[in-house]
Amino acid sequence: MDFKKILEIIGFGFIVWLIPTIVTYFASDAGSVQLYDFTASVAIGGSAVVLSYIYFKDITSHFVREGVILAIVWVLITIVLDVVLIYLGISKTSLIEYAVTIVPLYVIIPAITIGFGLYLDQMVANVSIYEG
Amino acid sequence: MGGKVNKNLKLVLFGFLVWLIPFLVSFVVFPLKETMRPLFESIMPLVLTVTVIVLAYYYLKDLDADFAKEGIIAGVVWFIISIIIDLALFLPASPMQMSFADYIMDIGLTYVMIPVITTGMGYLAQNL
Repeated sequence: MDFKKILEIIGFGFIVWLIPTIVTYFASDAGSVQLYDFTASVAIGGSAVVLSYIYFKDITSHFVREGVILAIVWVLITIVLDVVLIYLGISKTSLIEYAVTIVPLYVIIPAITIGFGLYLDQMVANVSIYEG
Repeated sequence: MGGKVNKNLKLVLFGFLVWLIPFLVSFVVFPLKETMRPLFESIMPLVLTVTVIVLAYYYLKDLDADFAKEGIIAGVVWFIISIIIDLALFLPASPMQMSFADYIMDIGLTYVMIPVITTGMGYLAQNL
C-alpha cells in the first residue's frame, strides 16, 4: 500500500469524524434529543457514503478488503479523536455515556464501507460474466 | 415494454421492503426505546442502511446503463414510499399516533439516508 493511499484513508477518516462532530455540536445546542439522534446518524452515514464513494472510485480490485480496511481505520480514528476530546474536557460527556450513546452509532461506518466493497465486488463479477 | 413494467414493479416493491424491514425490526426492538434509547436509535439507522444497500444492489445489478440516474430515482422513490406509508400509520388516531412535526424529527428525516446511499451506489457502478 503506497503512502498516498494511507494518507487518503487517514485523511478521509478524519473528515468522517469531523463532519458529524461539527453537525452534532450544533444539534446538541438546540437541546432536542430527537434532533441530535437524527443529525448524528445522518451525518455519520452521509459522510461515510460520500467519502467511501470518493475512495472507491479510484479502486479497481480487492473491494471487500478495501472496505474492511476503511471500516477499521475510520472507526478507530473517530473513537480515538472522540476520546481525546473527552479527556481534554472539550466534550462534556463521560466515557461511559459516550460508550453507550455514541459508539453504537459508528456501526453505520463498517455497514457502509464493507457494504460498498461487497457491492462493487459483485458488480465487477457481473460485468466479467457478461463480458466473458 | 414488459421490461420497463418489471423494472418499475421491482422499484416499488423494493421501496415497500425498504420501509417494511426497518418497521418490523423496530417492532421487535421497540422495548429498548424506553430502557436503552441510544441503542434503539443506533439499531434503526443501521437496519435502514443495510436494507438499502442490499436492495439497491439487487435493483442496480440487473441494469445495463444509467446507474447514477437510476440510483437517484430509486432513492427518491423509496424515500417517498417510506414517508407516505409512515404518515398513513402515524397521523391517524391510533396507539402510534404522533404529530407531523414529531414524526419528521423522530423518524422521517432519518430516511434522508436512503437517497444518499442509492445515489452513491449508482455513481460507483457508473464508474466501473
